[in-house]
Amino acid sequence: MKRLLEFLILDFREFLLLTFFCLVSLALIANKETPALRSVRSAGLETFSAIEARFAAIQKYFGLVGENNMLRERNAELAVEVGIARNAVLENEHLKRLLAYRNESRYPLKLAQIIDRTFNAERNLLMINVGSDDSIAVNMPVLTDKGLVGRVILVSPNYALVQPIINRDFKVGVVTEKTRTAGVLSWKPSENLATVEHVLLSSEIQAGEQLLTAEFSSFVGANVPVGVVKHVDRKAGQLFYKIDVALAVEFDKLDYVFIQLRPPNKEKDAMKKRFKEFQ
Amino acid sequence: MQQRILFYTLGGLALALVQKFLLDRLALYDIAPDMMLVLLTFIAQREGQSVGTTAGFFIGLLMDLLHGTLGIDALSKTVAGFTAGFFRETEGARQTTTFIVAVAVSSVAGITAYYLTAYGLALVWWKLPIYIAVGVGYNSVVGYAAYQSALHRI
Repeated sequence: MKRLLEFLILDFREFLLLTFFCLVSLALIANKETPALRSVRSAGLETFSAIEARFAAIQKYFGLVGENNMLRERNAELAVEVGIARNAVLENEHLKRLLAYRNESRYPLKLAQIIDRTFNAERNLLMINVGSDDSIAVNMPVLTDKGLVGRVILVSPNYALVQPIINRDFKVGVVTEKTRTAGVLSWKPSENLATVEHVLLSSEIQAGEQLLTAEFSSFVGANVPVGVVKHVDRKAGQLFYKIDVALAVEFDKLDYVFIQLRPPNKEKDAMKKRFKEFQ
Repeated sequence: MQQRILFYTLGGLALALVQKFLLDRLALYDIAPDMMLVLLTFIAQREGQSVGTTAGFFIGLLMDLLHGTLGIDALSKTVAGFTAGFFRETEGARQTTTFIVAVAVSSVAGITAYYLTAYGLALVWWKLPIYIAVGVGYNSVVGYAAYQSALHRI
């Protein structure tokens, strides 16, 4: 028996130790919730928690990486939200201005959304989502709070086609605000700008003057803003000024417009027809 | 021998704190570089399998107290110490490669024992090779650095 024990201890000492310590470990795992071992664990935690408190700075440093990533994600989310809110504010202001303009207008206005546009150098056209069912008729002026957009040239029950100022076939009578110089505004696609024609060199037109629609305009009432005189050019040997105009409406940002429900002045229209006969 | 036991004890206590408060925070796939296993491998390689197994148990017990568990680290480090003991160095033959291999093999044994004990049948088996691979990689790097910078001079 003694020899057997010596044999086991000497030759299998390592395996015996391994078995012994593994059994002790397993016993500890199995009994870790007993009051005695629980108090040992809590004492250990208590001791090392005190030390850990002194390592808080290190912990804080390593925690910063995760915190930074979290803040970066949150920042991106908030940036998107701010962008949405900013757009909403701008849209709100825009719609408020349109609403105020409609309230101040002499004639009833119909709000319409531009649902299609064909922009090219010469024949720009806009399609809006209101038509004859909404009392829209041909030749009604199309406006925004900034000024004149164009006129209705074709109507279907639910849609209408608008010829904007930036169409080479569009013409409107205008006067300057200060000097009351009259002319005809049209679009020059070759130069990509609006000009006022038929202004005599004897007139006192100045750059910077505001252009308004004239009383003699065929489809729109007087004093609707059209643009600002940008440049006045006097060329030798010519009877008229060459006048460049900066338009009041930004056509590339146009989304909503008003159609002025202006009833046709039949008497005036009849007289205009007779007027052409005498020309 | 007493001097060496004192050295291992003090070194173990100091490294346990470094492990708990610094290295444990560098965990990748739940596995942190295990400086205690490197020390244990060194002890087992230098002093033999019996001392390695015993040292493994006590080092594991210390880590259990630090982690608030009881028995799991003790068992895994016992197994790791026993495994590292197979790589006992012969007199005058200290090789970095042998040490790194010992660290790697004891890491495999230790990590396997740890997860089998801690999770039992709830262990997600396909994750075990990932834990082992990360642990072996981490510990080999730490072991190499420790051996080259300090341990080979002791």
